[in-house]
Amino acid sequence: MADEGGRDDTSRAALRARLRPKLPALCGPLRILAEETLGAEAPIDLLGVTPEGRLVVVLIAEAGRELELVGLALAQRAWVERRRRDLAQLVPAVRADLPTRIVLLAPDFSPTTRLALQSLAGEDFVCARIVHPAGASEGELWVELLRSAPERPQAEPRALAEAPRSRFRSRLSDADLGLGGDEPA
Amino acid sequence: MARSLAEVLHYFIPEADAPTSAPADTPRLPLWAVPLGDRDVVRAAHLWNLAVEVARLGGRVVLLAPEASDGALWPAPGRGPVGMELVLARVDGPAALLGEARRLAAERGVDAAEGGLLLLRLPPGWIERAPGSAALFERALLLVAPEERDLAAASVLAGRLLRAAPDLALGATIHGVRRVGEAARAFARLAEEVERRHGRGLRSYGLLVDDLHLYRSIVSRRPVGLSHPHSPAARTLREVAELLLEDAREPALG
Repeated sequence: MADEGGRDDTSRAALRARLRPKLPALCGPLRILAEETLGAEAPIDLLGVTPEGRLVVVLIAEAGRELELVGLALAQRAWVERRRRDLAQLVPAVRADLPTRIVLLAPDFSPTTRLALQSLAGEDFVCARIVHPAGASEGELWVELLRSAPERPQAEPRALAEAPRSRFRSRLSDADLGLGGDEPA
Repeated sequence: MARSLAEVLHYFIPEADAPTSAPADTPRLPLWAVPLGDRDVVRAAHLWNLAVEVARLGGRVVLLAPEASDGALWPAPGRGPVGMELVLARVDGPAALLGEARRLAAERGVDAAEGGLLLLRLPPGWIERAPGSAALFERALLLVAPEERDLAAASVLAGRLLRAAPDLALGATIHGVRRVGEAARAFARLAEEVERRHGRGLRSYGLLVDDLHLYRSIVSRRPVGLSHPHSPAARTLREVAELLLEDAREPALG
């Protein structure tokens, strides 16, 4: 097997095109909504939606950059989450109440990266290794699933629960301000 | 009719080669957009007094507004009380105003060792007309009265701002109250509405009490914090300025 993501002679677009058919094997049927679209100041390789309406962000790492991709994935997920409601209005297949899934594809996952991913236990991260089998025809890719989606993904609405708690801030009281009365803030 | 979803999506999500925001390591003043209508004299007075309070606390502060802002009754532009800088930009639209904001934030940020911020008076009608605004609208501050009608209008305004700048950190100061509790309840109602309608939290920036000294400051064009530093208005202004400065030292988290 040889690394694929780092090969110079393979354009990223071509790599995406070859990986797209492999995605259902990793995370079920996926309808691609956008390709190479700008997310959190970096492109999202593929943005799709599952039949149940869950948005899926697919990111492809170059060889040796998969640890960097984990951080980027968190940022991209946050970016997509903030637009989930708008996307749900635009694309009826998208459910605004389902959290976004991340799919990370890389030629390999280093021990450090695997350790980092372990700390994200319970998070909806799917990880797969891109492999080029020995003896396979030119351009043929396989993907090896290393981490699947949680068996019982969070399907309950959580948008409101996720919203930052809004707390009134003031250290002043009516007495401080000489406003009379003792009404608590 | 569009041939694919991707064609439609790209109207809402920029292409990969779209321009991005300024580099994060460029020193510049954090920018708070404050939507204010032209005839909003009281809120404009609050904003100017607030800028003075930030300067009193040692922060570098620029108050930027379109030159054509009628009704603000602010003093002449330039360096004002305790170093607060008022800039009235001769601009004909949001793109030019935001460009000026970007320039000033970068220039004045260089010598803001003690922190600071840029307060941008943004005409509400310009929110959707500002190309590339998302890169600039890191933060917005709504000055909201506690009456139900004002709270509802503020929620609508919040939605418009969030659509223009989805990563925006949105804050609110409740003004025109006679009790601290009145401000707390009004803020809670507004925050609940913003979370329900827009799925976003709301950052609190305290309260500004209804105080005769404020109205006198509008007429005299003298900041409350200097003319009546122990008045309720000055004390609440000072607290709001402290909250803004505290948050200005932290990156916007949305």
